[in-house]
Amino acid sequence: MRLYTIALKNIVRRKYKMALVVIGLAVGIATLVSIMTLMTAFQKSIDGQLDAYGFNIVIYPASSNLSLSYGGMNVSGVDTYERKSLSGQDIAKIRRMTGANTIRAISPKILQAVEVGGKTALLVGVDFKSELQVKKWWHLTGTRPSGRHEIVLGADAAKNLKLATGDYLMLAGNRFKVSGVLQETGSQDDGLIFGDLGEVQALYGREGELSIIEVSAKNSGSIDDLVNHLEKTLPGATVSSIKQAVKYKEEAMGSLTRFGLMVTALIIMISGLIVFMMMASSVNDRKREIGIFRAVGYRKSSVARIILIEALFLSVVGGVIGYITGFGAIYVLPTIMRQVNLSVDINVAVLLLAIGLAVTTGLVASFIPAQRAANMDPADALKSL
Amino acid sequence: MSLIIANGLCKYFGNDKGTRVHALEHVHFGIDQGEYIAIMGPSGSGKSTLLAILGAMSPPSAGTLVVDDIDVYSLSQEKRADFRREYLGFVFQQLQLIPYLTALENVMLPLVITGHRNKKELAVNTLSRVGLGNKLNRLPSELSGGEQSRVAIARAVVNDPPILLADEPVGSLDSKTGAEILSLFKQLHDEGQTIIMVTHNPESIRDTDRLIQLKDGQIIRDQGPGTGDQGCGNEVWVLS
Repeated sequence: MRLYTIALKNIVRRKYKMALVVIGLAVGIATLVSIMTLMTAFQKSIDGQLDAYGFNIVIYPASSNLSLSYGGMNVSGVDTYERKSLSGQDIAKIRRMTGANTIRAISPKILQAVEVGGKTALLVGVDFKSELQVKKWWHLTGTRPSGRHEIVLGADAAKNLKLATGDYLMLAGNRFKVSGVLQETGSQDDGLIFGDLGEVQALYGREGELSIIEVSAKNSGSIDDLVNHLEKTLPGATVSSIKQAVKYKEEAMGSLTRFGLMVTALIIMISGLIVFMMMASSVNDRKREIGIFRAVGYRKSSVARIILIEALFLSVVGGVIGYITGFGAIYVLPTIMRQVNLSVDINVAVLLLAIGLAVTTGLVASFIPAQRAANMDPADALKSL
Repeated sequence: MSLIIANGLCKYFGNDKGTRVHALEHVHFGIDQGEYIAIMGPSGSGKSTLLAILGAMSPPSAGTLVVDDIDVYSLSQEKRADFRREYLGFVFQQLQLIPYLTALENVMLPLVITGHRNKKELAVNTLSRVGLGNKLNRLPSELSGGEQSRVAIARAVVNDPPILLADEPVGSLDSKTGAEILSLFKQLHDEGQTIIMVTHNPESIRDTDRLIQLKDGQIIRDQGPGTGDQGCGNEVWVLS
């Protein structure tokens, strides 16, 4: 028999009271786990968006005229009457600038509003090779265009225009074959028509002009420096990182996280109070028993250890149950998960945090009752003496 | 040389009215190794207070208690806990067994915090010595009153303490069971155990070799070998 035998047997004996301690802790931990799991899933979703857009930077002419949302940003200067534009020379400047070695790919584009079957659509002239380097997330149904008279349609554009791979489309009196349709990306690309850059420029008399230059960085750490270099290299253009757009979402999530953690802290405090009250009550109920321990020669530290071993055991159980409950709660809210399209994974760090916090709360809340037990006068505790 | 020397023990308690209640006043005595002593007296005479002081659990207001040349109340509280573990065994009035521990575990209780090897074996042997070798794994609630008393006695002597303190050990037992428990005390005494027993029951002192009578916190009679007041032996003490 060891001290922990005494502690565990007492827990079994006072199972209902001890269950309250476990429930108190489990509720607090479950709340924490739910919030942290959701936040982790949100973060993962945001990271996914970052990955999807790559570490991309969009350069467009500084203009206050008509605008288009591109990658979550407002991009000016897409109107056909807008004369300000970028050019192939700008690409050459970018390749020569300081920090060019941190660039993974450069994808120039020209945007052109077009009429197709009585509907207005946006035609984007791209260099398909570099566009596919910049947009690694693109999945094509069909094939990559192999000639200047082949185009790719975004998923929504194909749906709206009622076109599929192999169909033909008339643009400015020329016939173009739909070589592929993009699978849904969740971005503005879904509504666009993609054609060959040189062909679009020639078709609409805009040779040498560029509406947007999209630059993909090799890694996220170099984005800010790259933006600075691009701004210096192209003073007449606006340089914007897609990362910035995602940052707004991160900030919003940060506020939500802070609120969630405040609620959790409050619940954990209440849990701690429940543990304190239950352990204090348990010590009170066991006054005589503690008197016996002291009478037969248990030191104060031994008595305190019995109480703290109980608290430790209950805390670990509370932590594990809290983790399972909190994690399970995320799954019983399938509608929420479906709406926000989040994927939830088991996170060992959250599990360790849950148990660690439960143990800390349990031990801190039990410290005073344990000390009270240890300081009990054995003669007072044993009324018979 | 006495094993226990109580020198001028006094114990005062304050009451609600701010006056001092004298529970013990200038109590002196010495107890030799192997003595079997009964402490008797009416309610409020101070016998439980004296037992608590002898049990190193309640410091006297004045006076000293020396056991085996150790001034018990000059020790820190933690050292006094160690002292209780090494020198004293307790049999309480209400037995005070831990209800959720088996007979064996109750007896092992004092050994848990010691460096004893073979704790279980020692506890089993002690329980067998008091006739409970076949009820090791019973909970206190599954034992009769007499058997619970035996477990309490086994727990008190399992670590072989020099002094056994007993507070009304047969107070709650029927006369037959009480006689069995007293014969167990006699057996321990015959094996050389020093026993100090607080009792109301004149039958309990039949086998003791010394009687200390208390009244109003003072010793009014100390009879037995070496006290100058012979009269102990096998006769039944008649209290006035």
